[in-house]
Amino acid sequence: MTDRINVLPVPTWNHLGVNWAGKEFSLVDTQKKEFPEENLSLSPLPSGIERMKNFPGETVHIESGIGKVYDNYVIQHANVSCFLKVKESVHQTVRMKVSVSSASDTVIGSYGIYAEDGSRVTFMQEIASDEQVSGSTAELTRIYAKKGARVKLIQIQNLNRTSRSWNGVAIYAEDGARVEVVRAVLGGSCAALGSRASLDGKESSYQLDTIYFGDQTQIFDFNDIADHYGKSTRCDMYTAGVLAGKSSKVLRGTIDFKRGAVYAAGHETEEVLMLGKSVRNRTVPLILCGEEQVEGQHAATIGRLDETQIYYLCSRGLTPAEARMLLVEGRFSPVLDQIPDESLREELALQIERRLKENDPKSNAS
Amino acid sequence: MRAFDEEKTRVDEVDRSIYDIRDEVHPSFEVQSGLTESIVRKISDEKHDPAWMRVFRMKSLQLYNSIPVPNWGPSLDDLHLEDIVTYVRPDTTMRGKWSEVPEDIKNTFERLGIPEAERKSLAGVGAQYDSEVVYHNISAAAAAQGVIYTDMESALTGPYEDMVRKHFMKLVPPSDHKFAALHGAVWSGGSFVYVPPGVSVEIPLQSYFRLNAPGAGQFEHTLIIVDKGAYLHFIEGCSAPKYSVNNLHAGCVELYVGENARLRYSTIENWSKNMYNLNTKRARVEKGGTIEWVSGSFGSHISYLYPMSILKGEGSRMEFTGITFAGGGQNLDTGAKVVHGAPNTTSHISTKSISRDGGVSTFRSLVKVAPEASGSKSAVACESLMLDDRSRSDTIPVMDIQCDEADVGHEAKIGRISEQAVFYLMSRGLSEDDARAFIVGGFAEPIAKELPLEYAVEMNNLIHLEMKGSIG
Repeated sequence: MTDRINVLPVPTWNHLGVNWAGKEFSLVDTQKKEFPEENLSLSPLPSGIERMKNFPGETVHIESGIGKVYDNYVIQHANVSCFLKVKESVHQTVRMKVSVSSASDTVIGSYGIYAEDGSRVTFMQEIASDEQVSGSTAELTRIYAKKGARVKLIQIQNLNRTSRSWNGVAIYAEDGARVEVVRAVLGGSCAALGSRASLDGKESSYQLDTIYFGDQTQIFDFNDIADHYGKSTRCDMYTAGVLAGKSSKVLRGTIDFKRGAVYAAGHETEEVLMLGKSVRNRTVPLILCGEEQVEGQHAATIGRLDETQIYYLCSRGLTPAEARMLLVEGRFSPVLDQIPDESLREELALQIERRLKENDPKSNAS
Repeated sequence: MRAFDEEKTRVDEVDRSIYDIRDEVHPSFEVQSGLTESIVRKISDEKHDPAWMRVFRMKSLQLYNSIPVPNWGPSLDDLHLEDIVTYVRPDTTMRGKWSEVPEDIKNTFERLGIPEAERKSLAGVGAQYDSEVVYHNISAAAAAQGVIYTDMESALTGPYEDMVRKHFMKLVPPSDHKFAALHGAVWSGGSFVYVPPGVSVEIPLQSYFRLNAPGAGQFEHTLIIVDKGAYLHFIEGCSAPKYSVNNLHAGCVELYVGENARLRYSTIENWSKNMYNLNTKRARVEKGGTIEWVSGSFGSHISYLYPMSILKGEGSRMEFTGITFAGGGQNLDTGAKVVHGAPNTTSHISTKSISRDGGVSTFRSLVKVAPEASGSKSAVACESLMLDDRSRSDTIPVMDIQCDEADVGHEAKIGRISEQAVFYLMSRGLSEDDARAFIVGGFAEPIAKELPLEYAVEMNNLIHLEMKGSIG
């Protein structure tokens, strides 16, 4: 496949290389491989949720941030699938884990949540890999939230450093529906992520919370879009990340107020901590506006940790390393706190702490 | 937190009456429309170019023919260069006294207030009419300080040729983009300024560019060198009457700011709504130097305008303050670029835009921090006001940060007048109309306060704000 992915909704200067993802993210058209059942685990489904064979046809027009061509590729070549119909409010988290191993080094996963009127669900997806395998994962999650439905999607990507990954999320929200997406992106040699929320229904809302940690030579490429069509729609997109080693990242975040989206509000915030002389961060936060009665804001803070904050924390008895970890935890907690599994949450926090220490010369010195 | 109001805020369109008066067109020479080697040669002949400039123009033409039209900004599909006359010499030579300038041209500049401004508040004026400068003068006081302020043609063919050759299109090479290449091929007119080391020019210089001929292009080149420790405020104004055919402006501004020098470059652009304004401006700032841009974009049909600052020396600094007003039939793609190329450099970009009556305003920016620019800081704030639902306002910033020892902040807001703010002001005794006028005036105020008083008044005349509406 040669089509461009993660395309910026409105292009800018070509020489900046942000109008679409780089060639390292080109998808290779591979033969469909079988995926062993034992590498997919799904928690028992509570009553109120049933597994469907196919995702309902009315969702075909929704598109992920990676792009329609990618979506069709995943749908047609999927070797893992999981489509859930949520009929009522479910309070326990539905968990799915995909393991990449030498026996299953290629994952093409097509997932979906079809939430009926007024239903509620939390769906957690975890993808991890054996250390020795160079895997490839291409996933697409479609969410169709009907009137008043509440859907929370938690995605944990913890692949090894030789795997490549693509992860698209496509969302459609009817009147009063709310969709929350929580993402932790920690692994992969290169990872492309693209979410797109169509807020079509009146008073529908979308919240996206992302954390990432890049080190060594990791490359992350994000394309997150919130399309406001309906009246009084709302989106909040928060991204916090650390770049260390020779890692790099592009974040495209777009709030698009379509004409007619009166009283819509969209907020986007990004915090990037740069650690290391060879990191590169590119941030492209767009606000597109064709409607006057809206409120849009974005804010980005990129650079170092605030030395005065570190100094203050040290004066309260913390070591510099503890102070830095505390400040990073503060940025990551909006995501980590939403992971329902305590042991997984602690495991991720420990991993972040370890990588922070590995990549912070000041911390090593202290 | 959210505050929406139902009443419409009326902001009048820019009053263009004084700009739209046309003079009869009677050039002493003009080339045919279009762009060919023969036309470029004719321009060289007409301007008595030195040999290196003749070669430069032809190379630029080749580049123009090989570089594609930008595919990322407003559509340029209706701009047909074969219909554009790239060189129109007015029927006069350059004068040093207004009394010697032909009556119709002089009257045009009188209406625009240029001679009066010169008398009151300027250290020198250059006035360009179509492709050539018709008036140029510098005050005796500034000249006595060693300040050089002349038209580009005199500089190129006179004692400053070497200085021109060393700097001309070195900051903006013709290979930069298609319209830089076009400029390199057909440029004419513009100003050359040199401020010697340590000299502070206390009152501003101004160049004014007037395009009168229908279907013509204006390609003036402005080259300013502010040497070590010197200071200059340079003001650029431009306008044209409206015609039913397209006009094109593809000027080029190159600013060299020396060590510990400071240059303030202010522009009020008020081209007519048949104008394609594809202008390129760039500054290079040495150690401890400062470039300050003040930019008001009100006219033109389509604009691509992103003044760029290259902070090359340690501790150099840039400030950009800009306002864009896009009304019906306008698509104004404006913004700023800055490259932090040395340690401890600082940039601050603050922009405002207003869209009304179907106008499209796009803020586009780049903040790049190179790996060697440790200790650098950048802050960007852009704010847009939408005044109806037929208009558009887009914000397209890019931050490319390649240095871990940098602090970069970015804020953008889009929306309409806050009802809470109106309510607060009314609670302090203002009428609703006054409150709204106060808020919109405050929105435009950051640029007004950066301009000399006379120009702030001109800008306020340009945006004649009239507020209507009542709570209900």
